[in-house]
Amino acid sequence: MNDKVMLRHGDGGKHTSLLIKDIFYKHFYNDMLVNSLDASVFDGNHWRLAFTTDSFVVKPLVFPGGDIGKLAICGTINDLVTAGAKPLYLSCGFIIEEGFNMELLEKIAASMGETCRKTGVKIITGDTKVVEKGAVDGVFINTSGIGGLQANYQPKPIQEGDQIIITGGIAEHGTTIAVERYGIKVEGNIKSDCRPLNHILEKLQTYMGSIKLMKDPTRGGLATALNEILEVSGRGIQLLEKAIPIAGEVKSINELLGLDPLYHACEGRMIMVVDKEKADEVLGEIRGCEGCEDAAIIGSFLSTDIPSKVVMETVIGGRRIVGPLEGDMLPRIC
Amino acid sequence: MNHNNPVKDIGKRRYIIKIYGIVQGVGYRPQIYNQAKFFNIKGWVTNQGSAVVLDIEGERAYIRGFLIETINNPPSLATVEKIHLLPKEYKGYLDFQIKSSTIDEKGLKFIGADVATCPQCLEEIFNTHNPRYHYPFTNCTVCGPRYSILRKLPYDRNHTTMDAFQMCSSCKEEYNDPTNRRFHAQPNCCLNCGPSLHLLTNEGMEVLCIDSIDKTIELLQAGKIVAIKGLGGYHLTCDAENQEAIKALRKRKNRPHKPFALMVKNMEVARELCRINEVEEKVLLSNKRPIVLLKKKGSKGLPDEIAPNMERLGAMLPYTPLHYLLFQRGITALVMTSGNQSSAPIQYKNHEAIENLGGIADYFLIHNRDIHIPVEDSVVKVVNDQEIVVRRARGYTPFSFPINITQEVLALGAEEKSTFCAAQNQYGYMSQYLGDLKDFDTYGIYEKAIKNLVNLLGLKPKIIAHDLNTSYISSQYAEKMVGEKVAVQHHHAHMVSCMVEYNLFSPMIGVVFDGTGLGTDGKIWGGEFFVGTRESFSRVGHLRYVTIQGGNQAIKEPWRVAISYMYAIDYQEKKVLREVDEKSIHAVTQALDQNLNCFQSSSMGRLFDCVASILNLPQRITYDAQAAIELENILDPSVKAYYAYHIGEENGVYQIDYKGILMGVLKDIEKEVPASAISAKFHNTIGNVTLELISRIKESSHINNVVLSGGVFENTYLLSYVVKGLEKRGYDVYYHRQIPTNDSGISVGQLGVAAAIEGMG
Ligand SMILES: [Fe+3]
Ligand SMILES: [Mg+2]
Ligand SMILES: [Zn+2]
Ligand SMILES: [Zn+2]
Repeated sequence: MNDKVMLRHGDGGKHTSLLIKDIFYKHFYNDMLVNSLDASVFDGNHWRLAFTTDSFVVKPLVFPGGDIGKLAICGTINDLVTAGAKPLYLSCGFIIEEGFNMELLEKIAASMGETCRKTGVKIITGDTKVVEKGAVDGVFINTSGIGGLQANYQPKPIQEGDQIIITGGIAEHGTTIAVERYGIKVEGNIKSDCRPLNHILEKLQTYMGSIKLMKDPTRGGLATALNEILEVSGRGIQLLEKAIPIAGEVKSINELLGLDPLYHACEGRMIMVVDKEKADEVLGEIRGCEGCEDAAIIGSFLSTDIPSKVVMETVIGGRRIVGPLEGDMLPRIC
Repeated sequence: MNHNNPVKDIGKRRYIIKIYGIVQGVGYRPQIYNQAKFFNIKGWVTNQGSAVVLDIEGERAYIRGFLIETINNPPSLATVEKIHLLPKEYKGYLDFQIKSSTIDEKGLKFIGADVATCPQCLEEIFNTHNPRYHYPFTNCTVCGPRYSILRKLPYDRNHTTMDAFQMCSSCKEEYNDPTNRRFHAQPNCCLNCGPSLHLLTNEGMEVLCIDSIDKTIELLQAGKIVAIKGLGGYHLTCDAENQEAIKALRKRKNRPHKPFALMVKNMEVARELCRINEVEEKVLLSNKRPIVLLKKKGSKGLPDEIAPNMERLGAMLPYTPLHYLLFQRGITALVMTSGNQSSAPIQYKNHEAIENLGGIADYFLIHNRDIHIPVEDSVVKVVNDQEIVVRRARGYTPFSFPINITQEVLALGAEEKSTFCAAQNQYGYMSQYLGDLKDFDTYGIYEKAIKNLVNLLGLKPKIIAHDLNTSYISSQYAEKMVGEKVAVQHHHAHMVSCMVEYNLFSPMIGVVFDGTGLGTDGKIWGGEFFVGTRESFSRVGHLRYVTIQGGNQAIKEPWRVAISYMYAIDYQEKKVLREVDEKSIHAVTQALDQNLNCFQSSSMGRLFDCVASILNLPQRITYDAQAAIELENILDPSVKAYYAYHIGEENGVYQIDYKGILMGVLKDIEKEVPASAISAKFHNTIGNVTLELISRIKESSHINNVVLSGGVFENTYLLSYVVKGLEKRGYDVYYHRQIPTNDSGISVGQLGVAAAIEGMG
């Protein structure tokens, strides 16, 4: 096999099918994928379905804790999870730059395959394009996903006192990417939190009636996700800074670089809004999941007669408004 | 005419007169009533909306005399803005009456500010034979609460929080007697019918005592911290001579350095502590009673913890009867700082205050006259014998000024040091200083104060002006409003705020030195030279851009700014920053290499931070502009030298090069020149380069008028240096006196720009 992806690998002919067989089928292997032609057929009548899509363009392609492949699978799985759906099938489209390292491509595919196996999700259809050098940066991946809704979950109106749970430490992915992309040398080992979250959903089956909303704080981080929830709920949110889990290294790197961890993407965390009565039990269940040991209740919803803002009780005792991410993190203090 | 006495009737006239301005709640109607009696005028007077309306008739000559008296000598608290005079047909009124108020939705509206206790009321409070002896809520038509208790216009008791109290028969008598100085004093009250004090523990339990004021004095003298409810909100108070109490207050309030204000017993005490000139004395004693920033007297005085590293002390005189009573026995000076936690707004509601300040204060001296809208103490200073308002609040707001727009406008201000403005009927109304909107409670008060003013004025704004920076919380508030939006560039707003103050319309050279504001090119501005009008500006010069690392954090950490500047001028010896560890320097340098979390800045405030950091002044500030303030404070005014500077040009825009200036500073440090001299030379350099650049701009633009604005001009030395230099060179120079040069003036500038763009439509 050539060590570089060539334009002809995308021409739809012999080379394309070699690429697909040697790399993608090898790592994504399942009957439905290899037996399908232009489309896969599956039986969906037991389920109400959820459907989502996402494209992944991360740089660097490989980073501590994951790579673009793992990210592409986790991202779509987690989007299905936020809808309360059990992820079933994925599609996967690659756009590859001419000259891309074949070994790296295989590594990415392998990591996708492994993530799929671990989560019991199947890639059942896919597509590959190779474009001229410079037309994309390395490789872009699109994944779409179909999931079956858990019968007893649906988003519910949020009430005063409803609790907000985050399933683990924040800002790990965003900080890792920033440090890696810019080649900043830092002490300690930080790695992306990139991970699939469908197992949490399975563990919380009996609590679906108490979970009011789920959201993964990806782009724009915890702060932006909470502001989006606020828009939907029309209620202010009270956050407790000291309750927000954050790894020591992540915190100190952000301090050093003057970055605000509330705005960094997470790729393996979920925000859950849970009925006050059940919040502690739900938290207990989540903490039992792998990688979620640091899950915490970080805040709650306020009454509608206070201005509807995300407000953080800071460690030093102030109440700071936390807005959504606005473009770059531009300084705004005068 | 067919009257019995034709000769007399021919000389009779009738007029309807409307007097606009601050004319209500100031004793205008009783004065008019008395004048009418004197000049034998018949008819009536009433409050209508916020105007005073008269229907008068009488002898021509008498009417003339009456009008001259009424208009030229209004009561001391009144400000007459406008008068309408309408001749009417003679009617034959039999007497002169004060009629009850009517509401006028359309008229001009002026809202009175809160006023310090007047000398006559004071005399009553200390007169053992007076029924109001020691009564802490004594007031009259010329003193007492106004804006802080007012729910709606016209200013009548039932529109204030005093409506909770029923006047007793003797108060009612005063209120109804046109010859009494409490005639129609809306908050009039006495021991028998008015509000009362309660002393509570920080758990809200009543402290048993005979006299709550005496007990409070005792507690203060024992070193306790007492939260005291005043006119516009709560103060946290302790004995200013008690170092331990002050330390405790700093610690509990989480305010390590920011100066505390003092309330001193009287002028004598003030003079013992500070050097006070005539103008300062006048301002201290004025019925607005602001905090005045006064030069400390050298050696003796109060503990340093009150205002560490400061040349000036912020001091005020008592302004409510309660304050006077606190100074009866032994205490001469009290620390009186806003009752809040770190950056939160002043507490003004009893329950919330106890809840929120319980961890700071040991005791609470509360009362049951509700504050409707909180107002902080105002802060002023005197420069070149002129009063300069730094923070416009109690006594100074709401502030009204003429503005050239008939449409109704709301201007939402900046984000820190926020204020807002409204315009109606060609008048602008500026709110009190509200503080940092990123603080949730401050934001709550901002929303409330806007709704309050909108309600008082009956405003339906068509135009909403806001900062260009959409991440400001004020801009986000604008987004949710209905109306035409006008986004105003931050420094243009600064410049225009000064033009509004002086009613200027012609093209100006605007020099705006500031901390941070978003520019039209998406970069952070703040060392700007504009040529422009209220409508528009062109940026003819600025401090050369520097790449600063660290986002918002850079503003709190001057060392980041210093490293960024040293990186830009390629100065390797970072060890001048003695107190910054190598790891941090290394990380920031790497981030600069990679342009990670960096922004481009032409901010003058940051250049001051940089020099302060190089001189090892605070590397992490705990209050706004601390580094720059301390840099000014160490300055040795006897040093007249300055550093070499260079003004470059790029695409026809002047660029002040900072490299030469900073190299001068750094070389002086290597030579171990004292920091006080370096600071002076740096200030002189900025002064000189500013003068030089202005003269170049004048050459090409032929404009001789210069407007100075922006937070950096709070720096008294720099302001005086530039003003004197410009005046010597024959410029007409305008700088802020009434409208703050800092971001609390931004709303006024936004209003000015919106009015100019939208015109008189
Ligand atoms: Fe500013
Ligand atoms: Mg997604
Ligand atoms: Zn009085
Ligand atoms: Zn009474």
